[in-house]
Amino acid sequence: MRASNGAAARTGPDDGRSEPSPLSIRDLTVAYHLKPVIWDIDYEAPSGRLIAIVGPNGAGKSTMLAACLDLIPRTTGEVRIFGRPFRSQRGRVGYVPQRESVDWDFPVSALDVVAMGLYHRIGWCRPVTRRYRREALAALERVGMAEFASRQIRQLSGGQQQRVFLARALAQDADLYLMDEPFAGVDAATELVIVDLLRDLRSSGKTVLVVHHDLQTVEEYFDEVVLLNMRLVAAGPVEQVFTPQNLRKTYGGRLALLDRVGNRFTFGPGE
Amino acid sequence: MVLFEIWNHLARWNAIDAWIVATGAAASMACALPGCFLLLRRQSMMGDAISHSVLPGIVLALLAGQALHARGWFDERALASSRHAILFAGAAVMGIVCAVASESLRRVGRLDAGAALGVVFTSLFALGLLLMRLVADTIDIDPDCVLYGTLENTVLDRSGPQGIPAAFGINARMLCVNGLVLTMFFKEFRISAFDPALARSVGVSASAMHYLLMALTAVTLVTAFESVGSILVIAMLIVPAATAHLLTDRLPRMIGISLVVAASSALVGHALATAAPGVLFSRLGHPEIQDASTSGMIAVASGLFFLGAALFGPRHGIVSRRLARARLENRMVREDVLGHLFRRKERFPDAAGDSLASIRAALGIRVRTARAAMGRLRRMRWIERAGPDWRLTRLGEESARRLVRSHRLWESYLARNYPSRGALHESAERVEHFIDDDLRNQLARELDSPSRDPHGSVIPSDPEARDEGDTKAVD
Amino acid sequence: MARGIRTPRTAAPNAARRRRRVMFGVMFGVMFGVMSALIVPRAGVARDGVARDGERIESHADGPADASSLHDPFVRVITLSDHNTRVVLLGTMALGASGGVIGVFMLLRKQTLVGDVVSHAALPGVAIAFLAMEWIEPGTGKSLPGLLVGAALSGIAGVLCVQAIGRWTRVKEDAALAVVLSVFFGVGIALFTIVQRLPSGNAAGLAHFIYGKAAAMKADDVWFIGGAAMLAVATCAALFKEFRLVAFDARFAAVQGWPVAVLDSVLMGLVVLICVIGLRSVGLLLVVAMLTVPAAAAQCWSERLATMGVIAAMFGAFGAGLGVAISAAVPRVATGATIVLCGSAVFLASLAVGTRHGLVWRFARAARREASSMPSAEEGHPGQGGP
Repeated sequence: MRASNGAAARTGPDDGRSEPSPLSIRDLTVAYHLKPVIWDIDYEAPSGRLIAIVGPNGAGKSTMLAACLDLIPRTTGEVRIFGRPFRSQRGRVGYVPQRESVDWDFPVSALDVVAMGLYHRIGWCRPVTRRYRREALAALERVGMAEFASRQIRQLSGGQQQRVFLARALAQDADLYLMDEPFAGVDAATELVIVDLLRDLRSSGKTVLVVHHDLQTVEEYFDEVVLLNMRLVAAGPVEQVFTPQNLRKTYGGRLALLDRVGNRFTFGPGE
Repeated sequence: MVLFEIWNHLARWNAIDAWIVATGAAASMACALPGCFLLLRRQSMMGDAISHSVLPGIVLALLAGQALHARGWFDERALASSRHAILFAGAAVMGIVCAVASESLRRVGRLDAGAALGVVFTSLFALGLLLMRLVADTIDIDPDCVLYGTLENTVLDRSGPQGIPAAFGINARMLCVNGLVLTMFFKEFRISAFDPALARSVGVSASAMHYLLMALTAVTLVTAFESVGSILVIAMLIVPAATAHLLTDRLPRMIGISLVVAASSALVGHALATAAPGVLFSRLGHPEIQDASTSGMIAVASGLFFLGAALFGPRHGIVSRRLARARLENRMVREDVLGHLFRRKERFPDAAGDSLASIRAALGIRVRTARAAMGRLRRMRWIERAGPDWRLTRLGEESARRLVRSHRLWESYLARNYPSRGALHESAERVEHFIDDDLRNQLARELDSPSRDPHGSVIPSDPEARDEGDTKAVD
Repeated sequence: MARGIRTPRTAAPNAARRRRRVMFGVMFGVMFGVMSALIVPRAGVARDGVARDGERIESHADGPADASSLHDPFVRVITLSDHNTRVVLLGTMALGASGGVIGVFMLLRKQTLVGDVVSHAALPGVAIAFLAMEWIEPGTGKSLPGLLVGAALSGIAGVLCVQAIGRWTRVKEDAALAVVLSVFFGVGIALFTIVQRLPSGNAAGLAHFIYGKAAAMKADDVWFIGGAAMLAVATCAALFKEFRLVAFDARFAAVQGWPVAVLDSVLMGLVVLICVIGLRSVGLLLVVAMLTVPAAAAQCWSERLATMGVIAAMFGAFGAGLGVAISAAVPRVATGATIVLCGSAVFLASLAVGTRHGLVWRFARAARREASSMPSAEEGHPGQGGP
């Protein structure tokens, strides 16, 4: 409920002038141990679209998201969220981490996890009151998980777990969502729920970037695609960019030369 | 003055000191061998846990020996001579119990690995302490000695042949046994430390190697216990191995270095123990303090070696990395100067050169950096003075040509393969410094030797193609 | 599909909840029984104890041998007729409770063994503080606050070293822990031998920091420990939400702008606090058990963090109290070791009958499954709601 109202209120007056891009990346390079993982990424995400980030394993998809969220230091380049640095825009960004990074034995219930999306609104040292719990429950409801609210997360199926983490991002009521492989290891039912949810978000004016690994469904689920393999291979509307030629360039093994240069490369100043 | 004082202390060393160092070195080296593998398997804290857990094993084993003696199965002499065998058996059993228990707690109780270890070793250690206190007078064991070890006293028992201290004998033998076992199973240990799944696929039982290593560690620790105590022995187990790990990437060399570090820390440790407190505390008004615990100081010395390796290790040391980074940055500045002069000459073929100020402005570098770079370039005879300005020599021009060629080839390569909005130059500015002859040739081949880059500038031809002079890359 | 899996899944937690209630009841019944036997004094003896309180404080029952007493030592301890035992018991229980709470967060943050490093690294701090105080004014070396400040500082230094090694070198975290722990302890032992050679340095008191000597606790110490324990628990309660977020999903916390490093430092600070106040009663060798064992035991019981914290606090207090009581009653038994072993007993019991994944239930389930898979037994167990 809140989510759609908030979005309507925000987009209403903005209709006339063009808002800055939800995510604009300029000249982004990230290096681990001085070796580049992604190079010279230039990208501007269009507003209100579902965008897939596609590329082979180790292409730097998750790294790109992490660099956008200030989780890892950028070697060069800058990232702007709605025209401002991420630091001042945290409230407008929802993040769904990769499933593998979660400790499923942790003693939290599904509702607790969703409530974590509200913590920054609750503020320091204040407990999660009933009001927030109700809000978290509403988010769970949106992904069809309300009846599992008190389950410990280990006792949910893979798809249900994924839905809980989506609900956490929903609870944040953000304008830009970054999701790291939400479709990984989920059942068909959950996949449908997630897709519906993504379309729901799009229709309320949100922008969603999804790291995606299933090439079969890209055309069906997404409007835009970003092809990534250490460098940006191509980006744009699916029908223009998602071509066999571009895919071959993305997946046809990293260009041997690029690899060799990358291996020799170390970052001098700035790292 | 201080040095003289230290020398005075060290000059007073006698045979006892020599034996202390030798025993410490033997114990330390014996521990370092299994330590290397524990470290590589990321089970250093397992070493810590085992060193705590063997305590109840020791006490129980000694009690069992006593019981057998009381029943008349062992006479006094047999008991004394089999004391070490009994200890080893108890220790090995407890070491394996600790490993098995923590592993099964992790799996069955779904505990975090660290917490499982913590629960197991504190419980076993508490049990050992309790038992030890309860039966301390029926068995021959000194609680303090078990914890801190008194290397200075153990060497006084020179019951071995030809007056060799028994402690040295047993530690040296342990060193030999460890060396033997690790040589015999070197391949297996290496593969199961590196990749357990691979080990299984080639028929090496990783878990068997694991428990062998645990038992070996436990027995080694017990041997060293009497000399250095149950906690300082962890320093002998892990610190030399960690030091060696900082210095090399190859396993055999790592083992060798860890042995050297182990032996040297025994020597330096005893020197510290005999000299440092006297020198320090006589200045603080306590001349009566002349020495400190050698086993403690051995741990301190190995810690110092570790610190040294962490700071000054040739490849991974913090200081060395900083230096390498600084050297790289200097080289990049020099090459940028060359590139700048080359491009300027391209644009204004008639100009003599460029002034320091304008070079600085173009590259955005500080005066000191620029001066240092120019000085070095001049000494390399790559640039020379032309009145108030600087210009490239013939040699310098060749280097600059290669650099600019790399730069423009890279731009062409990127433009051909990746869509991008104007980041070409920035990327090439960084990458140009890392493209050597080989890569440059490959780039040219792949691009069919283009003559112009995407901005329309001419890509300079390869200097080597024209003359086969000495063409070393910059620095 | 969702409907298909729901029925058995909702059925299972109900059974589990019932079982949990029963098992909680049994477990806490046992604990309550033991503790009430310790705490509720028998009327006559209590009057006796109160009357003698004044002299007991001086007489400092360092062990049970008190010739003036007519009572059997064990009865005296059990009935808390001794003022001193009561003081020690309270202090240690406060320590155990707070250690349990902090331990839960450390366990979930997967950094339990850092507590071991802190306590071992505290040893040189104790020795240096002693030497410094003796140097400034001879005879003041054994003042407890000074020693504890020294211990805290060097414990913090140890943690910082571990972090520095992890950040600046390629040595892995486990090795960094072992290196710092053993080298700091080595420094401590070397300094201790020096302290023992000081003429004024009657270092006997300092050795208590290694093995722990709860019996030496005084009423002032209890206030101090109680205050520190309250502080630790209160901090955990206030930052409960933040600690949970950081332990569960540090990346998400960072994205939301929570200062993960600061929160981690606060938690580390609490660990140092617990270790330092535990040094005196449990000893540095075993103080890590106060952080580990109750938390690990609590994990066997609950799937809610808050409940886990409460259970860990109870287990910690219980283990500590029982340990102190036993060690005060039985001669030649070290307090620290006894406390840890009592905690371990609680842990083993929890591992066996804990409701979350207790071994007993698991075996029972396996046995039931075996029985129901046999064709003849299938009709005999109609109540089995298995899928």
